[in-house]
Amino acid sequence: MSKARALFVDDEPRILDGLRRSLRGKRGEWEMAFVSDGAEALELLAQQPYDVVVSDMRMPGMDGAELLTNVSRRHPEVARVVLSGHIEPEAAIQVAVAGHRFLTKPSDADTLIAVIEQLLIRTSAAHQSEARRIAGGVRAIPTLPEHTDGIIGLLAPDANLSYAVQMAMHDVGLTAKLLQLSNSRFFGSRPRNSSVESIVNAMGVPMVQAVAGAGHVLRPTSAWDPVIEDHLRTAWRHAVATACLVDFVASPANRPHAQAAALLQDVGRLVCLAAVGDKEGSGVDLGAETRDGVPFRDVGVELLHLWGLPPPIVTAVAQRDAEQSPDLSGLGVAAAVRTAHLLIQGTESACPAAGRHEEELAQLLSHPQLKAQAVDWRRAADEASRQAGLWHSNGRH
Amino acid sequence: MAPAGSLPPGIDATVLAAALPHTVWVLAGAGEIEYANRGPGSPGEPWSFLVHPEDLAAVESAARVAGAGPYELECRLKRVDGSFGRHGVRFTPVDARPGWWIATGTDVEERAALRDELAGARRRVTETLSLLETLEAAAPAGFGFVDSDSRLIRVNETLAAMGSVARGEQLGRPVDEVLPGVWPQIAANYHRAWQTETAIVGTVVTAPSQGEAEGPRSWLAGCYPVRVEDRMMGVGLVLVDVTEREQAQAFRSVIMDDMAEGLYTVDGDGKLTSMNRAASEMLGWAEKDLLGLSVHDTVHAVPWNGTPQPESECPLRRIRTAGQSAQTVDETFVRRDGTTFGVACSVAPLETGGGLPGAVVTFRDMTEVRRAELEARHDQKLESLGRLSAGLAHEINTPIQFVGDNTRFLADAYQDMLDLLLVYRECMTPALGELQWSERTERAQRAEAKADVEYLATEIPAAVSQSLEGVERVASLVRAMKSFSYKDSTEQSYADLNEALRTTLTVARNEVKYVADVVLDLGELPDVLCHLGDLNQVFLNLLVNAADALKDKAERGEIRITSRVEGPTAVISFADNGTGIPADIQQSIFEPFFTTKEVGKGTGQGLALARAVLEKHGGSIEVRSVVGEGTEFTLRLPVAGRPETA
Repeated sequence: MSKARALFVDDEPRILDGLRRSLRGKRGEWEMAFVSDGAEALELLAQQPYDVVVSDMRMPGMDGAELLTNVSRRHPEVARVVLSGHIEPEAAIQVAVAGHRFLTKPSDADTLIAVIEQLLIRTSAAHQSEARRIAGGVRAIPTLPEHTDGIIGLLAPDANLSYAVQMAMHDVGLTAKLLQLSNSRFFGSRPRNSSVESIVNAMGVPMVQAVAGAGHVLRPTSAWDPVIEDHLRTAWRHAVATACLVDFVASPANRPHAQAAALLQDVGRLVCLAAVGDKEGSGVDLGAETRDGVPFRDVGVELLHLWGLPPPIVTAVAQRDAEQSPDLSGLGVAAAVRTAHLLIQGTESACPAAGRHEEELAQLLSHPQLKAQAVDWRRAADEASRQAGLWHSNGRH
Repeated sequence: MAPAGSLPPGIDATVLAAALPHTVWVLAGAGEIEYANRGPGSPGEPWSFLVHPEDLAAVESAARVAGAGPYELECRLKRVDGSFGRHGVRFTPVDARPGWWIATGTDVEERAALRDELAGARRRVTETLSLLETLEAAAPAGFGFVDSDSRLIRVNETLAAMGSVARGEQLGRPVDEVLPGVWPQIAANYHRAWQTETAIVGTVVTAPSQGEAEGPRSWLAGCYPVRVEDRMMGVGLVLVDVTEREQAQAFRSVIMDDMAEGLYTVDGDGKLTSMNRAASEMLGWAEKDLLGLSVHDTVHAVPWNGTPQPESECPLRRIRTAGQSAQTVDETFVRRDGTTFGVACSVAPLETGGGLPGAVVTFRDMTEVRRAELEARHDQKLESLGRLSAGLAHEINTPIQFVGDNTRFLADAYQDMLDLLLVYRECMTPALGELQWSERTERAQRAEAKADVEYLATEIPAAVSQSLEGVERVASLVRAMKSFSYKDSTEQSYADLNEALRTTLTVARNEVKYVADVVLDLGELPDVLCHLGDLNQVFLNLLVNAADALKDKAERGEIRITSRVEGPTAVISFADNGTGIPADIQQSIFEPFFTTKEVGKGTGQGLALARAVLEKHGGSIEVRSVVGEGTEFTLRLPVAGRPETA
């Protein structure tokens, strides 16, 4: 197998020297290149394929945000890591959009190595490079048209914290971006198992506004294809209903991850379908649920992995359609999401593309963790579906 | 009616006639007087001689009309004293002697006068009443009359409108019923007017106005006792609308008592005519103590350097006499206790008729404002430090990153070297005894290759020196920060400005390095007596401004910082080859809050602060700029510090 290839960009030669020396231990596994400006980096990328690029943010000439944006367009398959000593919020927002992973200086070599090694893993067994290429090019997840007003409301100067939490918890793109950023020390330390709510609380409204605003700029302004829009609206309502319900299904410790996974369960569908109408989106096959032959789900999982979302979330999204047989000691995130998903399949918020799997559902509902609760799960599912429908119609205004 | 009884003896007709209060004539057939009981007419004279010539025709005509019957007339007849008086005259024919008449005359002059007087009096009463009614209706005043039983006897529309029922229904009813709103406010005066029988005036009462939109109106109420021949008939009420006056008074009392700004007025000679409470409190003088005194002499004489200023040069007087108004002038006023405080004054001339105009002067104590300005200056310092801190963090994080990486490398390299050393040592041990030298050499070479000794030999010294360099970078940055944020004492002290410029450049490196190269062209400078902390701030502002001016430039810019001595002056300049400042705003850039930067990027205080600091040092700051070529700021500082204190 050929060596993995990593490219390091920093205008400070001392930094490059230090990295070269401290990463020398990886020279047997990685092919490494060190350049001091963005233009040179783009030249190298055009000549040879790379797996990962690690860039400083603030550099004379082409800065890191510009470089990484260029990379995301010309070489979407290259994973993008930011390594910056800057702590200003403006810079943070730029990297939030341009990069996949964010590291602050000083970061020790072990941390950097761990991040690069994670990024060298491709999650899609069958479509490694294609899934990476499609997911890698995504800088922000589009918001459904009916949520646009909600995002605009969030951007208003008088938006309050609870509104920001509500918006973030119901918007796929914002949830994913906030989880991605919460892994970065740009935004302060974080509890390991943090919910979207606690992330919003920790970041504060202005930061959330800035993140939402940055995503807003990237969103295509052209009208969506009505068929696609309808399709996405169904998927979104299903996701919100599942997220509502999984709050009861998952154990308290698993709730934040389960909720996020439920909301993000069809993120791959969203990013693939968002491209319909663009020239790159021509490879979408709605019936087969693939883009360029890659299943939507593989794209979504690869995206969440690239963005560094917590592994339980990535796994649960990956296994949403896989039969679950949880250990009797605990349901776990993936089985909780699967259970909630199957329950919602019996409601108005069902996702037509996925089946009912009644036998498996009965099996899951007989799990001791669920049996212990005196809940009529099907009624709870109907209620969650109703709530999602309500939020849906409110979101239109 | 027939006479009763008969005349007793001794009383004849002449006696009777003499007792009558009338004149009685007996006239013969031709009208000659035969007999008169009194009067000027003598027997034998024609009666007509007694008649006023002007009435003669009327008398003769009456006689003709009467013919032979009795008749009466009124005419003027001559009295005993020769004057004419109006008389009622009655002619009665004497039946016994045809052609003869008995005439009786009654002087009616007094009665007529009385009657005329009565008619005149009646007319005058009518006139007075109608005048009163007209006045009552027309005057913006309420009139009323209240009798001894507290009943409202008379009321005009204005007063009636304050009542609860229509005017027509008010009359004759108890006044507290019909005027429930105002009466309680007047009742006490009414009773006093009764008891003392003197007018009680001067009480202001309020009553709701008739128009809904207006607020209640104020009335000046007076109670006037009404006496007729020493008998109290009642009390007249007069209510005059004084709303405007009250409002004006309230306005005046706000100005005089509640306004936070000081206000005083002076006459044409500059003597105080009034002063409000704020002025009194600020100056420590009571109004009465200053009335008639020259304000200039008492509160405005002493500028800060101690030379009293003659009044002819007083700027407030100049404004007043020039007839201009509303200029804001910064002045220093003296309190009664001799302490001074800065004020901002405005002066408005006040024409007093003849001579020089007086003035209304308002002033504000600027002590707090100046303190706030100082604080703003401090805030500005914090703002630039805040901006710096993000850059400083980066400047520190970068060396920490590579020092860490190098140290990790050195740790690995040490391990590699140690492993190699152990191989060497093993090769050297006698225990290997029979092993061939060539075998030993080969082992050592293998180990050297594994350790990549060539690489280590070149990289380790570099890693060590770069680590030390990183540590020194952090250390120098911390030193510069410490020196930069040096706290000024209030006294000036000698400082090396070249060193200060280097320090500023160090702390602001991150602001500058992405856009420009900085050229330091520092000449020999003696130590300068100054407030170094303030100057550091100025240097930083100028450096950051220069960097900002270069941000939009396509290629990298250059900032040149020079220092030199010109005689007793240190000259420092900051030049950039950036966008330049358009000529039309070059004069504005030193104004506070002037900024061309976007909101949030600067408060526009930087250059205003720079000018203030330089002026405080007795120095100056100038700008020379050409659009498209660049900008140069030149600072001049007296080496020996501010002249006054040196």
